[in-house]
Amino acid sequence: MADQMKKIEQGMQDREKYLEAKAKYDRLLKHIKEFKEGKVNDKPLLTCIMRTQGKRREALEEILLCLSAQTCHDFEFIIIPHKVSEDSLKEITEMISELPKWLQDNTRICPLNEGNRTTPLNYGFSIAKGLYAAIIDDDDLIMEDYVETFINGIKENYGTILHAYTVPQDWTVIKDKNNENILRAIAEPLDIYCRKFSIENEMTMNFCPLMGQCFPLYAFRELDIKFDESLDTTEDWDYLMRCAAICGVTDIKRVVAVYRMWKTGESSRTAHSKKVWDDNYKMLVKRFSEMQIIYPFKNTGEDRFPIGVEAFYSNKKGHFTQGKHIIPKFDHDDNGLTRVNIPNLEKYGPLISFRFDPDSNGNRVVNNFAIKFILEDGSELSLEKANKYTNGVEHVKDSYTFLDDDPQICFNFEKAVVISRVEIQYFIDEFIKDKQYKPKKVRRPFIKRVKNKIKKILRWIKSRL
Amino acid sequence: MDKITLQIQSIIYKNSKEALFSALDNLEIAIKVARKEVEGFSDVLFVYGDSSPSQQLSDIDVKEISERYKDVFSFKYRYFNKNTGTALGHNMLGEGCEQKYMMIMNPDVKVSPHFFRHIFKFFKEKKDAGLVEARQTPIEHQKEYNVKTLETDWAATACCVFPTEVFNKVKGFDNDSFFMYCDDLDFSWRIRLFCKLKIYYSPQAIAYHAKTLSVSGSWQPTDAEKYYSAEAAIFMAHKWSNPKRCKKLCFNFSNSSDPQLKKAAETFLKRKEEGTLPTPIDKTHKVARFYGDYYSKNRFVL
Repeated sequence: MADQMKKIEQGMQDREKYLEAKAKYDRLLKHIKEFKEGKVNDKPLLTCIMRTQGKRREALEEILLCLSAQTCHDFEFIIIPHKVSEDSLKEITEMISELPKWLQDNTRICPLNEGNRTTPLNYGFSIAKGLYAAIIDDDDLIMEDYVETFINGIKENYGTILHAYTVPQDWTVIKDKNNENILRAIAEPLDIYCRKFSIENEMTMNFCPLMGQCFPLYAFRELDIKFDESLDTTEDWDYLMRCAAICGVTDIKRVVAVYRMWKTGESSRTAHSKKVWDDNYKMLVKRFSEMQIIYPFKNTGEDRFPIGVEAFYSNKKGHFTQGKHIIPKFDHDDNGLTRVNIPNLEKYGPLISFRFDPDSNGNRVVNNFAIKFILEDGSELSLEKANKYTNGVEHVKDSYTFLDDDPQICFNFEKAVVISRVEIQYFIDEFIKDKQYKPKKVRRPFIKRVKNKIKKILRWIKSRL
Repeated sequence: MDKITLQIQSIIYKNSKEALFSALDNLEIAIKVARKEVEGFSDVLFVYGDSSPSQQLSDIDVKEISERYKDVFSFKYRYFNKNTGTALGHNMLGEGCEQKYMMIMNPDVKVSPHFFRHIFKFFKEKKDAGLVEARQTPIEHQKEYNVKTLETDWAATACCVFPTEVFNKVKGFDNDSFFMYCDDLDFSWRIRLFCKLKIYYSPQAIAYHAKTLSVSGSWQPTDAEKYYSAEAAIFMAHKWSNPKRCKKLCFNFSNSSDPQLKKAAETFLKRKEEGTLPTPIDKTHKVARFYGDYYSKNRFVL
């Protein structure tokens, strides 16, 4: 009886949620109609919002240069120095004064001294004059048609979220001899986020970096869809999903930005503990599963894609490029067993290297990984003499822990071979136990340590001579 | 440091006036900032060489640009009345240059405000600096550089600065062999070979150079880019004494299904028949390096 009552209550709550969401959707439709009839003041169409802590001067200088290079100048730019010192604010103001006049005229510096990293987003949205808002971080890089692409998108698909493509790229910070920072790209831009938005796939993983999205401000102003300031991480994913459920998403198949993945220095990834990330993740997955999705997404099945499973082939040892990659089909059962089958590889000719990415994100454990390379005659390639390597840690045989994004398991064959198909199976766990997450510091081999010590002594002697 | 005078030159080809103005606006700021923070930074002459089929700038436009930036740089415009490509175009503009330094930039490149401070730091501190290249954004050039010395094998001339003396010593770009690709590579290698100077990379001097990435994150060449880069690859292999690669490229391009690659091979073979190919240099490969299809080690491949 109690169970039944609970079910009825739940049903009533769901119904209320649905009616509330439906009412918002209807108001949005009415607003879109008004826009199309020219009844909405449309100047400016776009506001670009940037939050900065003033800690990355070189990167900020670079993104400001990117903004000054825009082909379309018809946008508002709001920079929000968040909890910055007076000196830092002065420095930011000086940087803005060094922009071309048209961009200075379009810019507002709006400091904010309260809240967490989500607060500036609500603040920026609340003071934006545009009909849409795009959010850029102070270390992003944008293409010259970033603004133009979104403005065209707004005109054509007013009311929906615009989702353009972004390419993540690994960067590092090194020091020059004067101890000044040098920003250095260390890997090619990847296409892992160049995919159509799918609300189903997005339920469990965020594939849409923030700078690639442009939000209708009507949803914020009139439908009360605001950023959740209780979130210190993944606030963008949460906002995208809650907004998409009402407004929908239009894909723009164009690369508009580079998402810099810092391999050194501080980022939001390192600023918060794994526990914070995990707790927020679990909470959001639950929130999304209970969410009412009103916007009529057409999920025909074409939109579904394997979540980050990729393979690369190469006829040069270890030379994996984006042009030589495959997004294979896979099955994933309830027990967590993933089976991947990659057929017709013979068309790529003799291969010397093969790489398999079991996912696109880090914090993953791959257990009982098994791979078979089937040759043209149906026989199986022996991997005895093949060189297997990974960017994770093989904690026990055929089981790997990946802390960083873009997990990879690679094989260099003894000689080039024509492969007909590859069969792979493994179990994947999306959470790493804390014990694994904080691995013990691995000491370098004794000989290497001695060699380094000798090198240091020699360098010291040389400097004294 | 002595007085720094600079000639900045750009070859335009059907560029819109808005795009040119946008680049000049950034340059204006960088020059103003340089006058405050670079010792000796003085007169700047900006020259456009127009390779377009018809004049991109009218007399009124030229007057407008001269007037708009008169406090920052003097301005000259030269219409070539033919498509010179970059190599010949820059040679024509650089001929008789009276400034101490020359800067070459693509007309759509936008420089950062403190650009010149970072560039001229090299010429001040390093006596062996023959050419300094800026870092391109939003897609950084993939070629490797030494993170300690900031030396690199060659410089892309999308945006770079060098002493005019060096330009004169190596007799500018080899416009006889290169139209618009690899002219910078050949120029850099000749600076290293004949002037015994080094090529430096300035990661802090940033130049915005627009690039289009495909949705697979790679670069998408146009037909013209394909043709001229293929032609340049064969000429590089021939000129810098790599006959094996030259032969291989000719064979592959001749048998390619891509008409642009075929055409590139035909051009080379025709020049060979006519006996108008350049004489191979650096036979012992003191400078020239070939890493597959690349001319330096790369951090990544686009």
